[in-house]
Amino acid sequence: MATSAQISQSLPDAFALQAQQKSPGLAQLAWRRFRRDKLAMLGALVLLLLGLFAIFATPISDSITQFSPEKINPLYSLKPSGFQRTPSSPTNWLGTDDLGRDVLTRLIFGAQVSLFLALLTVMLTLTIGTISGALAGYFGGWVDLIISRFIDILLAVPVFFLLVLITVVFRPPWWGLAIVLASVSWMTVARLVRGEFLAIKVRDYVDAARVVGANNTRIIFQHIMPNSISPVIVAATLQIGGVILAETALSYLGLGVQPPTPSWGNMLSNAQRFIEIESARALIVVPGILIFVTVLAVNLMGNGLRDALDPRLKQ
Amino acid sequence: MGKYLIRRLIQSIPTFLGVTFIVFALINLVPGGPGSDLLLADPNIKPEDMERIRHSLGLDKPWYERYALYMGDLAHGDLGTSLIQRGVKVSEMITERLPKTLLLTGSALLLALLIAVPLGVMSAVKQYSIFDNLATMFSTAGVAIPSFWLSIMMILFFSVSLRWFPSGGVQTLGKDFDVGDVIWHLAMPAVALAFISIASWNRYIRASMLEVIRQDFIRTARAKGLRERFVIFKHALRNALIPFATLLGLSLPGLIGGALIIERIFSWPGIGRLAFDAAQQRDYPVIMGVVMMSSMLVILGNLAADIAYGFLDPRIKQS
Repeated sequence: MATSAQISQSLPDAFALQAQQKSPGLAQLAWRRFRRDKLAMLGALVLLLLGLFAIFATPISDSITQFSPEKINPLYSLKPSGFQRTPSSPTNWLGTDDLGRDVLTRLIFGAQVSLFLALLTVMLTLTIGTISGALAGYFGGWVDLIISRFIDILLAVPVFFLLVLITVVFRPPWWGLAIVLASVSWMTVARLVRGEFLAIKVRDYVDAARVVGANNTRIIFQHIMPNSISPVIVAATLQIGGVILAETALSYLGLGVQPPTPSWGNMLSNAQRFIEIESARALIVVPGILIFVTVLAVNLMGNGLRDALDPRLKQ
Repeated sequence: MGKYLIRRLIQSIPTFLGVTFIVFALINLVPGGPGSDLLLADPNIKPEDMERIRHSLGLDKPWYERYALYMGDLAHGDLGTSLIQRGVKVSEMITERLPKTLLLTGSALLLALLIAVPLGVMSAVKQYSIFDNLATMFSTAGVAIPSFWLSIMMILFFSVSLRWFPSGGVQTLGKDFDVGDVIWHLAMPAVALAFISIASWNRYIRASMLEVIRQDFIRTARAKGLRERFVIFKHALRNALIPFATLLGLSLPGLIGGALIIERIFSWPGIGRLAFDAAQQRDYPVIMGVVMMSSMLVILGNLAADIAYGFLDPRIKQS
């Protein structure tokens, strides 16, 4: 901040001061644009809220809902929303499932599983996708040929069949699902990074870096990667939604997160059996709405991020 | 055109070989594959009997030999026999189920096209109108709805509450085959499967149309005094659909994969349901057969999309 005392200083000092007040960086500019996008901000807010619920699932269930997610009590099965055992006991705000477990508590813990899995998957996707895409784009030749062909092959298999096949063969624990999901979703990022690398590696500044003696690793990670990161971040964000949908679908089919660990997907597949029972409506409707809201929030945020990071793409 | 076709056909061969290899490797090279499962089956089997079984099943041969054998059989249309339903050929199981999956995915594809194309065109023609904004909202929300939940909700409303549509199956049990009856059963699964495609495709059509509408030949067509409807549907839409042909090919894996879930929810006896049941029972030859078959469908679909692209865009033929 320029005070009156600083302004009255000599001219060279004023120039130095101006140099200190740098023009806003990419992240700062992007944030300014992102902030103005109301839908994107709403999406981010919803995600933040869901994230907080997921992180603090245990204290919330201890103090607010006062139920444990896996505690069974068959005496109180399939109770409607707002049920109380006695006037003084805690309320089952969304009722109970067939084993008498509190639905709201299980939903909160389900958020923990689904969101954490999605985050882990996207991080893995980014790692595999960026490295393979960078190698293919930077080195070209047979490295590119092998990686690109492999991507073509994986894209030709109906992803969901492949997921079913892999989960059946490996029977992964719930964190292993992240590896499985990442193994069928890294191709988009890889193609994107490859394209960016192909475009950037012929730029003059890359040649300049090579002339001053930078090795391949340095050129890839220090010079090209930072310049190709924006579209990758956008693609990765938009992929979170797809990952959540795939995970919940797998869990719904009984191949993903295994009960008693609650996941929005396996809660739905359990609930479907009671589709005819009026008091079990919340059991079927709410997990789906939560999946929908989460995916919608991620997508809105991703769209906002895209517009913010690359204004040229905005239609 | 002939050369282009042949080149694309040849290009798809290594892709198919790659798919078969990956699927084969997944099942055969990892722990928990068919060999070890047999060992787990019965602890009372004597080791020498075990060897005999492994030999009779060809499991004592090295993997590359088994892969070659499998590919040789595949070339003859032989996908082996089911482990669970002893003696039943996998190829027979698939040919029995495939028409039902094709019926389901085909209707969903048609339905999605019939809704998404007019929706996208209207959105583009009336850009930023209320209609366009509503369509945008529908698309944004539509791609976020999990298809299995949508299916359950449809069953809840249209089968359980209103009792308008059956909740599953291909036709009413005990009734003779009747086209109307099948369509009645097909309605809900087809809509559920088409839904996500409608939501995403209409965006692509809109973007593609917007690009075409701004071009000179559209202005020329209008300047000639052609009726607006003619300009939009004949001149503009034709060109806007060209890039869409590729997208259509690319959405096939999703559509066929989506059929797996939809078939399970609506008890539709197609190959998706077959794959799922086989997966539950660890019936490896059947899973392998279905994945090979569906991958082949996808590759053929992409090929067809490329050929359509060649026909729609004369510039491709010349190159």
